[in-house]
Amino acid sequence: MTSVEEPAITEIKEKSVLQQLESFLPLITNSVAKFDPRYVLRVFRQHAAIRREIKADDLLDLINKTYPTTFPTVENLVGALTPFSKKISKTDTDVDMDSDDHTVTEVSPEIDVFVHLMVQIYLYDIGEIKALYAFNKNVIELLKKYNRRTLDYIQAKAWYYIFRSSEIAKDLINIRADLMNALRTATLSHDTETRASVITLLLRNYILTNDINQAYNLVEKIEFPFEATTSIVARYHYYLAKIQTIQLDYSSANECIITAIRKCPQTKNAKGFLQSATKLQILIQLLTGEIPELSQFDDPILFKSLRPYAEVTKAVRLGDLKIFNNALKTYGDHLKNDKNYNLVLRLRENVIKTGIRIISLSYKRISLKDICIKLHLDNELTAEYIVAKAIKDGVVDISINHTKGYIESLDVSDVYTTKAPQAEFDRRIKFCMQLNNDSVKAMRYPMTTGREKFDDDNEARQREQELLQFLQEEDF
Amino acid sequence: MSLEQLTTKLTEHFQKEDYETCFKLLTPIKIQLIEHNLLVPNFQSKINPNDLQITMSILEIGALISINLFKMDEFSNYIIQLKPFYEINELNSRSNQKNKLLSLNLLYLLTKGDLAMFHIELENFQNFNLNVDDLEKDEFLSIPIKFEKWIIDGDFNKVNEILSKKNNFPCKEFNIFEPGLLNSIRINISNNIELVYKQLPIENLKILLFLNEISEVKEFIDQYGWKFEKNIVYFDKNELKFEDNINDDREIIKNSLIYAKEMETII
Repeated sequence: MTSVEEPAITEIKEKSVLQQLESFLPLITNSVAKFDPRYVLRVFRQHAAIRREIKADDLLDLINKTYPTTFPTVENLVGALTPFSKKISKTDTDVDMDSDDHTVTEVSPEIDVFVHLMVQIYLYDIGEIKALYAFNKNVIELLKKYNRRTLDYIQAKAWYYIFRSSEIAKDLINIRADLMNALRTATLSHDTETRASVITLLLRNYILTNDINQAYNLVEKIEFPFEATTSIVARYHYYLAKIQTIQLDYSSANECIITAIRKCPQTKNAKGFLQSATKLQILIQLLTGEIPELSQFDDPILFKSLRPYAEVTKAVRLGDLKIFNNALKTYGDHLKNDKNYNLVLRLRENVIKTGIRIISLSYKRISLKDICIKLHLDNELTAEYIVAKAIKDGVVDISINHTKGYIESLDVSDVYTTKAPQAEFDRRIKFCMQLNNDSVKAMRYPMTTGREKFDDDNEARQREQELLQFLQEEDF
Repeated sequence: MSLEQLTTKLTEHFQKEDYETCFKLLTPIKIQLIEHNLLVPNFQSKINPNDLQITMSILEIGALISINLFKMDEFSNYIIQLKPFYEINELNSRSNQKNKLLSLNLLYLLTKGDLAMFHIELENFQNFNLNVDDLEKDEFLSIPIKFEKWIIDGDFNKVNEILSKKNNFPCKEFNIFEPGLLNSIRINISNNIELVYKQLPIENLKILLFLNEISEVKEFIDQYGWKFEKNIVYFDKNELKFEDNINDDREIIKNSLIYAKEMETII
């Protein structure tokens, strides 16, 4: 903004931002009237597009236009924004002008909470965490006051920003009570969105403070609403995988992390989540004695952040402790940052497991003595214990002949002589049919039966086009 | 009696290793601590850290007493009560029993075979100002960590070796866990054996389970319900067998009909 013409351009933009913001409000009112959350979701989609362009002044203008000056929350809202307003001297005159123009008397709770959310997001985007933290106290109070189902989606988002500010301000203990209260209220009023959102936030809270046991207890006690927004469900699966990995329950963790990655939104905005989920997945695979596919590391989005993990994988694949220790030295801080250092340390013991696996794959029959030599074990008895354990853990499919002192791979039974493939085929067909039926059920048809108005149709088509466009760049 | 008197009495008896008397003293002390609002460290009210340190050492003594009296549940309780103290940076550096107690707690979890909890505790250590890299160098903490490694690997021989060399530990409380730990690895081994072998001579089974007497082996055999004939132990497994042939024509027809019906509704 150095040249002279710039201000004019920004002013036009500002106007359009403000207009856009204003256009959200009727949509929200609409959603309340029709009891249909789709309108709110649409607002969120459109808001994501202009998010970076919103300025404090836009929000101030919006507040002035929407709220009657005597409304109780106005003071807080304006108070939170004023320090970041660029036209401080002007605001006073603006207030007078606007309050003359508009004689608003009532503000619905939905709009009130929505405006609060807008302010939260704004403060978060400009990195004013302290201000956001202070402002959040008001938001928590506000959310307690209202109890309407039409608020669910907005409320769920508001909690996210409340938590984020606490996390950055390193105040994780105090927020727990508020989150717990929110969870209780949401559960009692069947508020799926807020419930799901708050659960993931609580899990994140516990994991950040290393209170894995508490996180696990929470998972045990609650029922997670899987019908919530997919991105939240994905997050839940990610945290679940994390907890299960720490508890050594690798097979369940693997399932969870795969679900998380599949459910993760396919946009560039979800990059961070995808990265940490993939990191965890690689570690889980390594811990179960599998070697992740090398092509996974070449993904252009993930390539850079996966470097340490690629190095660790290399070490495990070669069974080379030297490379492994080097990788730990070079990337130790990076891994600690990811909070995965402990898990990586566990891999050190996995070298033996991988060794047994490789041996069992390459030999049909091998004596226990040879295993001792190959894996540098003390004696045959040790080898026998270790192999037995590996068989029990399902790492290898072999049997031990104790009297003759050798191990033998079991014959791979031909699955195609069994019923297994047919059962699998049946399961998949049924899944596809279910999917088809569900999609048919989920389709919406216009209420008016006779589609006389061609204009309506056109408009609907346009809206659909718009929706498609936003879906492509969706952010959650 | 005042708190001070009780505390001096407690330490006196503790040094004499008179654990029974100590144990009786602990209850009135705890009541006193609660009255002075010291049993749970509070972040908000600024209590003199020295007072909290006294509480911490009382709890530590309590934990050691319960171990020596084999009251494991009590011991767990004390550990839970101690954790908030260890989470305060000022305090945890002043404790000289911290690593020992945490290490004992880890051993206790190993005897229970609760490896999940073991790792949860390890994660939690970051809150006590303990770095992961330092754990393996610590005199006390390295012991349970080594054991866990061997148990995960299935290297039970090493665990047995260390355990049979008595008085190898930095303090006497570690020996208390020996029988429990041995038992827990025996259970572990039995679970493995059951899956891996079809049959095994009883002599070999005795060696594998680190037992000295055949009669002890027989106890195990009874416990697991294995078959024992002519000095050979048989492990009956309920193997999951695939049905070898597809002879269930009805099933196929039934499925195909369902598909056909569904297809019809789509078209």
